[in-house]
Amino acid sequence: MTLNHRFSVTAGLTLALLMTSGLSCTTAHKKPDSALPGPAASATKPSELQNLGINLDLQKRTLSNGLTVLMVEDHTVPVISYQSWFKVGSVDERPGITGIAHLFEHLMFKGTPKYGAKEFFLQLEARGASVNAYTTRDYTVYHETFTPNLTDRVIDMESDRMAHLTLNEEAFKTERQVVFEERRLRTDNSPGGRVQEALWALAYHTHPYSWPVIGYPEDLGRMTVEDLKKFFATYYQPGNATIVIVGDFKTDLMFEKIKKAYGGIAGHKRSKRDIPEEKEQNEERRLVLYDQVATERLSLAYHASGAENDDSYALDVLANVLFAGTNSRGHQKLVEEMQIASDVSGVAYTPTYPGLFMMTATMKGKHVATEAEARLEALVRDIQLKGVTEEEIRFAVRQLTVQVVDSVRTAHGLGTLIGTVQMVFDDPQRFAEDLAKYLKVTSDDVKRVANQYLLPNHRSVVTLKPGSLPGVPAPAAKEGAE
Amino acid sequence: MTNFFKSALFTAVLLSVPGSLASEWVRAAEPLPGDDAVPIMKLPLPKIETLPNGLQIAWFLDDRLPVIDLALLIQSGNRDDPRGKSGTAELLGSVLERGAGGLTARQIAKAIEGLGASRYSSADEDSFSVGMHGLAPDAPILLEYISKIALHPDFIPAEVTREKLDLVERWNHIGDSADPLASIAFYRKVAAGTSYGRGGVASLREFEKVKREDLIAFHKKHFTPKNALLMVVGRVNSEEFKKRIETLFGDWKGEAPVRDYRPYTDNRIVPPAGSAKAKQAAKEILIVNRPGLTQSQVRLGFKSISVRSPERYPLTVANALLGEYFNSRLNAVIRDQLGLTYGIESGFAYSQDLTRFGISSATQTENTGKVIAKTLEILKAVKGGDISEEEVKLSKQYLVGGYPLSVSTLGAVATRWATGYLFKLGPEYLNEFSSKIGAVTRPEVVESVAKNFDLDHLTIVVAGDAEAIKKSLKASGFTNLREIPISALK
Repeated sequence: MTLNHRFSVTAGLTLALLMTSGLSCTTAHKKPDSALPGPAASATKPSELQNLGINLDLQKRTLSNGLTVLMVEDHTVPVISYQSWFKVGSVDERPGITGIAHLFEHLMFKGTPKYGAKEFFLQLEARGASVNAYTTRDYTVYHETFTPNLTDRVIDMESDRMAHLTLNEEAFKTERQVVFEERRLRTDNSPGGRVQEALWALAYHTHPYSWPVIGYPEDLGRMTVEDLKKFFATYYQPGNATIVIVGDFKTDLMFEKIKKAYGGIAGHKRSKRDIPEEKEQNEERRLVLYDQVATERLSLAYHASGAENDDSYALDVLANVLFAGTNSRGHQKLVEEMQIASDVSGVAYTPTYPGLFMMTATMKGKHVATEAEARLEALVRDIQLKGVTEEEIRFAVRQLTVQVVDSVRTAHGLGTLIGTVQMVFDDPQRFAEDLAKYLKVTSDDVKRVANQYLLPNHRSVVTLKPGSLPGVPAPAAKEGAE
Repeated sequence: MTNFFKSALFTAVLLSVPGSLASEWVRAAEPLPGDDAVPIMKLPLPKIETLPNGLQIAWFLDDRLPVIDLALLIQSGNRDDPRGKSGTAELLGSVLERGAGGLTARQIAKAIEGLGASRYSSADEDSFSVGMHGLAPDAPILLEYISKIALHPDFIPAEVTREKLDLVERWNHIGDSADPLASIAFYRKVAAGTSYGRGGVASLREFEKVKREDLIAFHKKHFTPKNALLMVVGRVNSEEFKKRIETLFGDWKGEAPVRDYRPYTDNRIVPPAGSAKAKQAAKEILIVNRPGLTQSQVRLGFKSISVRSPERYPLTVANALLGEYFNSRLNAVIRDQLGLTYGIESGFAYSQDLTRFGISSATQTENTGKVIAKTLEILKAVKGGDISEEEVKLSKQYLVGGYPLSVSTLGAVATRWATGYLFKLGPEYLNEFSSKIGAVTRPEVVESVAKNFDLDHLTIVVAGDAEAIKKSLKASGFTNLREIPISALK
């Protein structure tokens, strides 16, 4: 389960690097196959990509049932990444059925009449394929990485479960128990997990980002198979899905296979998401949690923009200046200079809908979270008054550039970037546009977004304090012997 | 930070479905063309050069992406800590970049991070690595910083003091959740009586004794060209870069260190041999008490055969069918059939002279006894020969089919190669994996499991709320229980 994705900026940076390196990601441009009947076909605009010095051939085609297919043919290594993206996440849930989107991440492996419950792993994983899935607030992804000999089986199984997933009481109850264990692991017994869940719930009161992707146990407990069937019929259909394929295949042949496998599945264009807007926060919100931890922890969040708002680029730079690396302002002040925290971090999380600019600090020894809060506020105020330096912007761009090159080193990484941009913007070609916007970020932009978003009244603060559970006295045992 | 050499290559850990008898649950999918084929792997092997001072250079060159990985691998690790001063190598890893070549920690950080590059400097059991990852055009600068950090650390007294306090601070957080508690206790118990017994930091009491002089002495003894390997992975002009290496590393002097390994046992975890408690402890379930948790972390395992043993291949297949992938038997039964856990996995963790086999899971505290009982039932069945042809076939397919994916990037190839180099597995190690696995037969798997799954010396560790754990364990028939506090691990 992945809760945090970077998209627009990172996608743009991919191209920045490729431009400077002259790297050819894939084969030369090809024109769309206009002879293909039925589905719409389009390719990336050669002029845009050539201006950037890139030979990335991203083919976008659409079936008549609404299924979007994005393909990047690349014969560098005999590996294919096949990703099925569904535009459904916890944002599509309502109070009472929280966690249902994530539950499907589990149930989608429980079989169909054609391929039984264990078949996904027997057919694919047992042949060396990597098979997995993750759910975010905005979308759910099922992905396989495999050698080309498994292509037909992957397509058959993915299209089959999109059309014929078996949803029964037995599988539901077992998998719900597994999800409860997952929740105990990642949230209930994890100090960091508890804090994150509390922080989102504090920051959002009406928007569905308020609840955790994994859902609340009481909602999972009262969910029924009928709820599941309704959810599946609504969201798991071609008109709400994008297939992203990157790697060692022939584009036209691959598309023919896709068309044959998915063409018969009924689909419809999904209506626009009806998501309740979050009202503007006008007061600081605070919460204190207790746990048996060594030191206090601070976690705070300011309301920020969504990905569609161009402010997200400057917010990314701001986050890097404050928190990326040991040379960052945050690390230098709290960890190095004042030595009040053992670590400090932060990120601009700007998803489909307005997100959060988050900061965390783990306190050192007896230092309390309010000390870190005061220092972080001072750092923010300084940027609000003076902006950041050109050097800091340059460093931030460079850091993100390397991160992106790393993420596109593999077919899976490139596929993930393409899918994310498609889900958020409904346009995989936002790559080039994003690049230009990112490179234009100035000190004034960073100063402006700091003043616009990082306001005390827009802030939610969760402090985790060491609890007072009684400890067991240490035995006076001899330590060791050689 | 990315640590190029830190991926647990041999530690197979993934998720895995029903009935404890192999024949009850496993069935191969209908055959596909190529199912039984074992692909002939021809992975790129590095060009190896040796400088006059003994420093070896391994070149993995590739122009496809504009990135570079550089790593100086020192063939000494925390096993080489001076006696009674565990944590020396661990601390050295932190101190190296806190001032080197006349530059301050911040100057080093700014120079490297300004390039968008990342860095690491850390000790493992058998090795120490200092490395950089960044854009290819920056390779010469990154190399220069590796030479400063690894060869010319300043050991600034204030920085040593500070890093030492920081390490203690980090250790104090091990009880924040149960996972590290279970892992540390399990390691110490399985490694007891070996030269790996101290781990990275055996105790804070020993660590307190580590002085700046110990770091300098460790560095002088182990950071020598004859004990080092420089890896160059990615896009670089090798001719020009070689000159740069000669300039920065050519004057480096020193001989390979003489080793002085001694076995160590943490008597807080394992009672002294011959003591009244020792015999009882051999069959116990050790519980690390972390009150207030609703889920317990469970570890089971034993010492296993050397990484250099030919039996490694049938045991690799055995591990795959038991707990390496989602459909392996442990996960098939305990997660998929019974819903008792989010995942249960098994794997071998190899060191040069110690191999640990471990099973890892987490479960609702009330189900701790059920998970351990079921795991033991499966282990006993497998050891007794309950392994089907289908399971062996599927596991081999999984391992052989997944190998190309696991080495699909040059960095992955280089990392595997480096592990083989460190463990002295021979030059063909990289390319023989698939054929060796492909040749494994069911009788070999059954025989190697019967011989090497040492269930008589099984270590079982649980971390979580001790009172609730004990109640669950007793309900499942486990009575030999011993509880220790978190402080026994510090």
